[in-house]
Amino acid sequence: MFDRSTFWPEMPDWEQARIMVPGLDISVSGDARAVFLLGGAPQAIAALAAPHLGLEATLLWIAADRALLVAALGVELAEGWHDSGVAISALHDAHLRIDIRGPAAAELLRRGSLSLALSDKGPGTALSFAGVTVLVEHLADGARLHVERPLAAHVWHWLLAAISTTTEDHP
Amino acid sequence: MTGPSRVSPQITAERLAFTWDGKPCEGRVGDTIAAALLANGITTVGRSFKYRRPRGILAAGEEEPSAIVDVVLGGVRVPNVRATMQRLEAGMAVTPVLGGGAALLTGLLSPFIGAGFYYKTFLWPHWHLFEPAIRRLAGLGRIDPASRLLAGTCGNLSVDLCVVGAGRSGLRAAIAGARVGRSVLLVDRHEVPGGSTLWRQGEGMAALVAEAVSLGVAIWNSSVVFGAYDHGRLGVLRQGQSLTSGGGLWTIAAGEVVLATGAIERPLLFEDNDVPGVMLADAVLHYLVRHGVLCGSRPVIATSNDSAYETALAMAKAGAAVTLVDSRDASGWSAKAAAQGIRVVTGARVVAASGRGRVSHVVLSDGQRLDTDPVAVSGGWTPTLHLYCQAGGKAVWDEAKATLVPAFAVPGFSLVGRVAGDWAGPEAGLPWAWSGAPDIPETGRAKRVWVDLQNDVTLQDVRLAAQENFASVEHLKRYTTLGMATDQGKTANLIGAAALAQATGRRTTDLGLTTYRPPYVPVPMAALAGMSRGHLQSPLRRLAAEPAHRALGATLWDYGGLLRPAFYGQDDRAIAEECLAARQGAVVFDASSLGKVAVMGPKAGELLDFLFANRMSSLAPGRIRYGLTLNEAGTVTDDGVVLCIGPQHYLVSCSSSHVGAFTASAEEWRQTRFGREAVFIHDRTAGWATMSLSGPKSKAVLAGLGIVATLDDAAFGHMSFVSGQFAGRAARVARVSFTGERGYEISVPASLAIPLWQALVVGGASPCGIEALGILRAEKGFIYVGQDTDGQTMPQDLGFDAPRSKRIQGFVGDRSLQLPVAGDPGRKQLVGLKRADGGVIPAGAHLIEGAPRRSIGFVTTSHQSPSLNRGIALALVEGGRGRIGAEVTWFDLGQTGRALVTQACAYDPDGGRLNV
Repeated sequence: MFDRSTFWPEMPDWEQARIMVPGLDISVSGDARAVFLLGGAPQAIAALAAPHLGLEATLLWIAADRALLVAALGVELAEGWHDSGVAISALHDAHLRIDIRGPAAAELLRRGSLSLALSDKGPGTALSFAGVTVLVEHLADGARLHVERPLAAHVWHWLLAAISTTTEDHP
Repeated sequence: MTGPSRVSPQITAERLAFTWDGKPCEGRVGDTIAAALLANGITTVGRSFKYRRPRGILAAGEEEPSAIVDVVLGGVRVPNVRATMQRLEAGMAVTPVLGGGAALLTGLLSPFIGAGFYYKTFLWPHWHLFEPAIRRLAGLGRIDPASRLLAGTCGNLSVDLCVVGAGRSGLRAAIAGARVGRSVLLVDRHEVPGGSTLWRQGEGMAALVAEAVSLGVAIWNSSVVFGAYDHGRLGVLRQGQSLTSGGGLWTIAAGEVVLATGAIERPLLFEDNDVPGVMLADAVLHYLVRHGVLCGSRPVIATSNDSAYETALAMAKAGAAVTLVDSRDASGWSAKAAAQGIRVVTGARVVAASGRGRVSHVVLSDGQRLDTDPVAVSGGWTPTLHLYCQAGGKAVWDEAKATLVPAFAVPGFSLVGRVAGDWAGPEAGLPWAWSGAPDIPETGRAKRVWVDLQNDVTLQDVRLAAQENFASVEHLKRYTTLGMATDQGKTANLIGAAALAQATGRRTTDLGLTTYRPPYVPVPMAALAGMSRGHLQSPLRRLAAEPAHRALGATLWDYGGLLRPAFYGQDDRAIAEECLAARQGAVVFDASSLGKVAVMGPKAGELLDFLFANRMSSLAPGRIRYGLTLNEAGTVTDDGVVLCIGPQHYLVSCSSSHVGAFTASAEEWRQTRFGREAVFIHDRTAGWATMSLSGPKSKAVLAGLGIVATLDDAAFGHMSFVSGQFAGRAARVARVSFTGERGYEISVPASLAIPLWQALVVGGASPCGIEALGILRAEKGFIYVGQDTDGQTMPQDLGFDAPRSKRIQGFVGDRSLQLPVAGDPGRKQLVGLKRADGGVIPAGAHLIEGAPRRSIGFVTTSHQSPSLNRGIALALVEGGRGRIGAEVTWFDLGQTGRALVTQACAYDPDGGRLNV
């Protein structure tokens, strides 16, 4: 009987997954605590998130009325609908974080997304990378991609394929 | 007649062996395929598309209409390669895309197969009768399904300024941009920068290139900008290291675009101007200077402008006996040519060419007959305005300037050099006069004058089209195919428009040109695909527990964008075993992809009541209800269950493949009907894993999991749920069943998917794939929306009458349910089928009746039921419920049989198994 188990490559072991090649260090983590905030006004979302922001927490804007608050140590925000006009869902395990760092990171990121090639990034973090929507957190030496867990294997295999081809000369 | 031959300077370059139509040939490093063919004396490179006339190489660039070849390299066949643009590689086996087949037939028939003959001839009895034979005759190239081009390097790039064309004007524009600190990308189709100065006069180019490089200008050679799109986006095709390595497709986001794309030379119109050996004068110069190939020793160079003089002077210098025929009066250029020993004829035109297999002589308008080898022609130049037009510009003919000009400025695009009508020539010397209107012969003669070589369109075809009132250039294009196909009429469009203008008594200015659309050059599908091939072609969602499924030997299939276990084992006998295990013991199925869409807010219940055909707001916390969603036509779009988490907080578990569609629909109604602050939609699916535990022993397995929650039946009945903990994290257990047996859906955070799966298997549950689930649910008469429904199925057709007969509140699709057609007793309704012999009815079989027979429905699902030990089937049948107890006839691929119409549910119709 037809079997697609071999056509689709096996998922990486996310605990061990890492790509280290000259100019690139790509690693994965999945232990972040994240809550999804959706509201009518961005100010309301920003106000709810403000007490939690700091070195270990980031607010990733998906659209004007929705954002993902990601924190390393967890966020104490009750799930459900709040009187402030914002609704909250815990999405702790919904994303895997893929960190792409190194001197060649910018080139690799540009190859995956036209949006990451643009100089004006804008406040929104949701963009198409390797054909799927990801949230992008810019780092000093690269970027952190927050990829929906079911699609993370596709992005990982895309990265493996991309780094196997040569880079190009450009401004 | 001597034909082309190799002269200096590339004569000493490294030699490359290749074959042409099976014959061994030799080229040099740096040659294009076309240059190498000419150097080997090959002037006929194929047959024409329609008439199968022998054709030679006309041009030296992307405008080439005839030199299209198939190439096999390293066992990989690449079809439709433009010989004038492709670098020669050692070992290439080059063949023409069209050989000589049917030449005699089409030659004899040619008087009868002019423009539009397809439309007039193949009407009766039907076009499709003739289509296969015509398609075999037509077409370019041959695809080898076994050949695969490698993926080129593709990507995206943002620059302040992109300059297209690395000639003098382009280099200057790039330097100017870089000097003020802008990031500049310079794209050029040649292997080195320089543009036409690579073969025409041009001083100081090396210094310009050096300055551009020193200022940080990135120069992409061997690259073509094939399209200009919205928001300043450009599509660039970068040639690979080898033909078989595929091209790299790049998207450039440019703040500003400067087009320095130059101009394309036009041929002259005269009888039999398609004979091999009739070439563009610029191409003849190109092959001589760039590749050291002298295209003939006794050329006639016919021109209507100054540009061809440079060709004449270069050929004379290379030792050819040149005759130059200028349709204009004597000028400074003609005097200069004569001083170099060139025979110059002014005030005359070439009116005919002839030769067997290769041009051997021409006839001039003054009656002279000149022997020739080859004929180099220049009928003026057409600025390459394609990208400007693709960006929203419009090219118009300027009568005063006698050239094509941009009608207006396009923001973000500017034009420099010849594309802007700047015909400035060498830095010093005589001024150029390159412009000029196409010269269209006034009267038709016996022989044909070719306008579009690639599509075999003649001047007579254009006049016939005009005579038949195809008076617009767009109509002319569709009627004659002028300007279509792989060269997009780069040498023919303007001439065709001018010919149509003449034939209809109008001016070219008034007629306009056909629309320029991307791509400017053909783009290989391999380049368009880029890395999106194989398993990267379409992103597929994966289950978090996939490694555990693989470890158990699961056969995986992709179902609706998800990779899921079909069954566990080597063959489909495992499916039957999994079915029996579900009925007799306990099985676990990975249902993680089922939707988990939260609906929250003061109007959450109201929104769900609107989205579902049955009421959801009356659900109590902790309870679950099954429901159907409809579209505005009342058609069933999905089914699922809704969990009431708490006041104004629900969770919708929709079908796996409908999560995106349901979420988008709910979000749309939220924003347009209920208000952004009244209700909120969150798709939580990716964050959770769900394992569906089912079977009479499932309760015992659940008890062994250690879930911290109250799980006894008294407090936890069917269609309810409890919250608890698994492995220290939140968990939810719902009592629902898609198999008809006692069932539980256990949801945990996605990172716990494998621990939960393993705990269930260790606890005694057998793994179960989606194929077994499909049988189990069919035994119960549970539907798969999209398989057991069609584009007309309404709730009442599935046995859900309440939405139509009882609900008062408005909901999506409610009005359609009240239409007379919704109450038609002849509607197709879901029923079961059973064969008397217990056999299986083919899925998809039609149910028929009457004479002549007609279809009254079809089988939507059919399986051999391991539990019932007979075939079971579901079907949509006209007036189906009224036929229960009666027999119907099924028909499939010539086979027929009889089946009894039954209730859809074939197993445990009372539902007692839910609590076993």
